[in-house]
Amino acid sequence: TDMWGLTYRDDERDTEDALGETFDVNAVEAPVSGNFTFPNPPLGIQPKGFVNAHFGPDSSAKSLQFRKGTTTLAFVYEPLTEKDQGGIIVAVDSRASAGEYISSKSVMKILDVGDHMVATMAGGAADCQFWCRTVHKYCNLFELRERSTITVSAASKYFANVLYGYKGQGLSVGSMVAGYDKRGPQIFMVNSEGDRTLLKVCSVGSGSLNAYGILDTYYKPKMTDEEAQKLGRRAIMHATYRDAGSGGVCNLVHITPTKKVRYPGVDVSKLWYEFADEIGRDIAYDPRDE
Amino acid sequence: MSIMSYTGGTVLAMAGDDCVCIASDLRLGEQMNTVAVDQKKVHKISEKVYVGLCGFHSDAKTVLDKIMFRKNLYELRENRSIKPKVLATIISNLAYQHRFGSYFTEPLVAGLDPVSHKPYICAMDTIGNICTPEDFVAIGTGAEYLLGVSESFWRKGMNSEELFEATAQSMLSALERDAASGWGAVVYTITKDKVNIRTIKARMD
Repeated sequence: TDMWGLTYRDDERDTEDALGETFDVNAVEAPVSGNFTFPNPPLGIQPKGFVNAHFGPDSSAKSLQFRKGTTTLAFVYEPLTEKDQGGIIVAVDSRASAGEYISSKSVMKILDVGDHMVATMAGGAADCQFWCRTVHKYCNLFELRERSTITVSAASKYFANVLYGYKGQGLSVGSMVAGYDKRGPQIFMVNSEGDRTLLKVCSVGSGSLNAYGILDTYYKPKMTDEEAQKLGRRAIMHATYRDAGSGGVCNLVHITPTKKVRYPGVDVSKLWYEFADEIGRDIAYDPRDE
Repeated sequence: MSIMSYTGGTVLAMAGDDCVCIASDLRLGEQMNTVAVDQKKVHKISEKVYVGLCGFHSDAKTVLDKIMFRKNLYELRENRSIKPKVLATIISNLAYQHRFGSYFTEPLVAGLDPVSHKPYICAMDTIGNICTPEDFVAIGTGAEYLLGVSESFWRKGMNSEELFEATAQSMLSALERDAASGWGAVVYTITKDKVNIRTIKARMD
């Protein structure tokens, strides 16, 4: 069967092995996922130029602009006391902007990739959602085949290889694959240029520089769980304050050695007012008319 | 990004029964970066006449200086307070003088006639076409979002309290959806005996 843009493998070849038992030869080969064939644009059109002209920031049709603009961050920390669990904190905002239009205030930018890993979404929302789902599918197939959980390193390597295959074609993906495996907590930053970097503290998106400012100042390798969560939320709040492309609610996931915990979203504007209260800042505006 | 949305900003004005309300957001940005959160786009020209200038901040400041200059000369020559309708014509002529090389700013005039206290609101494009609806006008990056909400909130003959509520709520709705405006809003309610200035606590993202 050949559906538009996708080809399915329906050749089921049964073979006999040495003992005379039949088995499906597909089951022996590595799971092939992401066997997509995207239809090519007509002759002469370069995909990247086409994408930029119609869907990029200079496009004249606002409603066609891709949804970008975000702040995502993740960091690894060790427990300070026995009551803490340590692990990875992943914090994101929830705004999707098409140019200056805020197309959504409630996007979930932390996507699951397997039972013990997450991937964050930054850059083009559609690109991230589609390819993270592809990686999740690959991880599921891997775990079924190998009968053991996939490592963060392997999942991020697969992701990076897939993205490298589309390099130069205008994809925009800045994702962090974070999880706990037998090597401990790991965060790999993967992007559409084909980069794959192991980091302890990482932030991606238009508000990432603002988030780095807070993270770099207040990060400590050993923290309590509460301190770590507060740091994640605080960094997101500062980034949403200064960056017009980030906002909404702060979603947070805490990956511990044993489980993934998703926390309910906290409004970033509420976080800002709490922060202003904390430092005793006068938030009243004085118009100063002559 | 276009030059009109480089620094960002939104202004709304509504007319009621013997009162006008003019509201502005407080953000000043450089494309996605927010540089200041205390820059209003509404300026007092005379006791009862206010002007809102959106678009490119640099041109807005320049045009404001030119407006003040022309208004001062007018008041010295005529020896009386300027009417909002006359100020609108002055601004329109100033804008059209730069027809081939315009200032990247859209002016909005809101005020009460100094003698009859009749409300007046109008908005212009960058080359000075005056548009004088009886209900409300909106300019800036969030103008499209304001028009829909204002249409449902505005009624004929509102008093100053109702007008303030309508203006403030419309402004807050627009700021929810416009990334280039926000970080607070200030609302001026102009009636025949006083001008009420209220700052609104808005979303800080």
